Amino acid sequence: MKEQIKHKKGIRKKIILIISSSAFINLIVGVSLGYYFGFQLLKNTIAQNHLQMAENLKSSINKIFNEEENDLHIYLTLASRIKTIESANLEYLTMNSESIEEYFRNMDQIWTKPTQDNQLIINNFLNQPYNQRMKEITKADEAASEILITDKLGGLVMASNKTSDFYQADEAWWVQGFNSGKGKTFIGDIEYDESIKSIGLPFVIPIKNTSGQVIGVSKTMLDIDNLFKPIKEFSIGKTGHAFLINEKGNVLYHKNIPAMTKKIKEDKGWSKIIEDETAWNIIDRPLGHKSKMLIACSAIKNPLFIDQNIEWKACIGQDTDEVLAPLNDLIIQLIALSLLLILLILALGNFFSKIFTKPIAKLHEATDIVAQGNLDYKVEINTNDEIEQFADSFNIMVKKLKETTASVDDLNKEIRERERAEEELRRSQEKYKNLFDRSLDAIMLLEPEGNFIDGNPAAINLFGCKDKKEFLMRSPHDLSPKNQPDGQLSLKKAKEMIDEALNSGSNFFEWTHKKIDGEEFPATVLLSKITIENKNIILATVRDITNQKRAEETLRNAVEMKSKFTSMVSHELRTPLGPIKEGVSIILDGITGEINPQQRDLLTTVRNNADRLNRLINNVLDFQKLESGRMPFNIEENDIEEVLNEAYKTMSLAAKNKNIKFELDVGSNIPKINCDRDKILQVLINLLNNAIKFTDKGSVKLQVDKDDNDIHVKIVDTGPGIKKEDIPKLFVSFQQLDIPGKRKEGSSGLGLAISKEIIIKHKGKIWVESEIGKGSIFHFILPAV
Amino acid sequence: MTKKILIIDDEIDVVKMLVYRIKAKGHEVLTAAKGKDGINIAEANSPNLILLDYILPDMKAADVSKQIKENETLKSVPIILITASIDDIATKAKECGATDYIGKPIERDILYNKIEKYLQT
Repeated sequence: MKEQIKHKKGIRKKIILIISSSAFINLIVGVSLGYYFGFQLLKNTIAQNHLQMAENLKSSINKIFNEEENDLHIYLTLASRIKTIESANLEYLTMNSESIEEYFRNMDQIWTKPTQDNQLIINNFLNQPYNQRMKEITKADEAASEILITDKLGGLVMASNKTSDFYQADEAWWVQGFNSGKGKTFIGDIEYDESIKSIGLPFVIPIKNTSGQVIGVSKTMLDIDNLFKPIKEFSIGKTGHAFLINEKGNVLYHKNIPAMTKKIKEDKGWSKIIEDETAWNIIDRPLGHKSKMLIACSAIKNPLFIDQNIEWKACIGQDTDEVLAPLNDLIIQLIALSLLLILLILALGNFFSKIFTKPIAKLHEATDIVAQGNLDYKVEINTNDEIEQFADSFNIMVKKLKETTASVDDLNKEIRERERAEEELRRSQEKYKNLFDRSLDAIMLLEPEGNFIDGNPAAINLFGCKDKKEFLMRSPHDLSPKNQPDGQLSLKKAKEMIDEALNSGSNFFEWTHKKIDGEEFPATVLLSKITIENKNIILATVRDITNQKRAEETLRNAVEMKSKFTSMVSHELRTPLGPIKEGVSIILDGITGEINPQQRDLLTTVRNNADRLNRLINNVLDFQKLESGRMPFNIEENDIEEVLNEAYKTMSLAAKNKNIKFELDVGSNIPKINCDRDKILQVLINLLNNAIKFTDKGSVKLQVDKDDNDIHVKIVDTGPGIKKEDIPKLFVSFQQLDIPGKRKEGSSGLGLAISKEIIIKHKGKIWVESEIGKGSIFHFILPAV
Repeated sequence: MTKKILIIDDEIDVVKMLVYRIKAKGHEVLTAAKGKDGINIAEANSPNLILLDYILPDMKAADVSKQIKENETLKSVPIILITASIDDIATKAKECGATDYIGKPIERDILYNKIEKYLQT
């Protein structure tokens, strides 16, 4: 559990880590690339901007040059100038070469030796009107600081200032400009000009006459400060400035560097700039600068000096720190953006990890629940992805697990049940083995064909066998006499009995058996069919009923004797009683003549006792018949009212004799009933007789009512009543109750028992209600037709 | 008016008592101890009423009754079966073709009632 908890957030962490790290790498790469390309782009943009500025500078310088050339050209080719120069050339026609040399030597002497005379000559020269004009031009033209013009042999013709010497043909610029008489515009190297005491750019223009012949060469010193004014004045930011280099890498013009004093290093960065027409680069500490600079250059290709292979470059340089300041801002912005993005990614990672891990946590929870044994749990995940698929598989797995568990449970249960059943079987077997062995009844197992399979000790003993071996050697018919009491052959009848048991499942009958010593005995046999492994077996239980038979016989004889005795006794007793009674009656009736009172009294006593004896005998006989079921009943539809009337009539005299009130109360709608009229009359007379006998004063009432569909008869008396504890004895035969003040004589104790039997035979009911001192009510109910 | 009543019964004591009783009513009594004698006497004397015992030493009561009934003059004479048996007296009476029956011991009142009843016709 602890282990699980420890790893609970592992996946989340991992997801966050994966998302974060991948996003972080992307971010780093993105920022780096963004930075790199942004930097490149920006750098390019800035460089292009610088290049453009360099272009502009180039154009400005070209323009200045062209204007200057144009101006000079116009000025130098004025007709008066041409005329002056041609006149100087004409003078050489008259001189030979030696005199020309002489002339130049003299003139140089004058120019270079500043004697007073010489100075005078020079001043004179300078004060010539055209020289004065020229001087004025140099003042008017900011760029041109000195102008001089020579003839076709190099001798000075005009000059705005005093030149260092007179003869110019020995100067390189003159040779270039004269170009062996063909003439060529030429730009010289920037140099320090002694005469004007400033750095200038010699600009040589050949002068031609109208027919195109080179008649002289002019040289104008251009003041570079003025000439490169755009460069001088150019500035961007704090460090941005312009400068001019030539094709050899010499710095032609730089506001802080004297011309031609520095040469850019021919390293890689520079060479690229020099080689290409327009190019830019970042160069480490160029021209004594303290840090890296962005240098953008544009080549100035002016037709004026293209023949000279002169290629200047207008360059703009700016400190990279300044130039790339926007880039640094970009980086800061990118870093800030990156941090923001990282935070966002972490938040997203957290969010997504939650989304991803939530179902996993749910699954984990489900696993715990299932692990605790709840196999009905179902995990609900609707992520529509592999996790949902996993959850589905999980649910299926749990279901399978449940089934498996259930079946394992069932199996265990079944095993337990089987073990229990086996144990029970074992016990049962033991129990039945005991039962079998110890049973006092003879128990044996037979094949349906009639052969013994087994027998218990009681069986072996019953048939008088020594042991089981001897018993099993016998066949069942060995153990029966040849014939059964009904005359059938034992062998045949035994087969029938077994067949009956096989058909019905069991068969109970009496059988006469024979022991192996030949003694026969009656027995009851219970054959039961048992099916063991689809095979029918007969279980026979044999009980010797010799004693029972004997007892039954005795009882039967006794009953028969009793019956015979009672009928014989009653008949034989009754027969002589008839004449006794009749004889006495005849005498008492006076048929045989008068008798005296004493005789009458004695004869009356005789007759009464004879009557009593007769009744007793009749009752015993009736009861005997009722009890044995031999009393015939003559059941017919009878009018009960008529029967009641007869009973009433019969008993009226007796009631009258006792001076008690005797009533008959017949209800309305008394239906006819099925009964034996004489028997019901017998019951009524019996009950009324009792009622009158025991009632000394008051009344006896015979009442009949319809009760539902039945006839309800009541005999109500005001006699002494019957004790509660005596009531149950009332209808029992030969019971005589102690009635206060009554003698027991004159009653057999059978009257009520006979009445009860008669009513029961009519499917009726008889009972009594009584209260000591108040009287009794005898009820009986007879079912109507 | 004097009537003749024939009693066919072999129980002498019973017959004796009956004779006393019937004579007391002023009727003439004839007796026979055997069935055959009874038939002969009946044929000879044409009694008005016959009391026939169910058990006779020589004949069955039913045969006696049948032979009497075969006689034209005796055909309408009522025969009352008398028997000591209380079982199925009515059935026995029917079987014998008797008009009525009286159980033994014969009670005076019943006897007189029955005699009176059958002698009126």
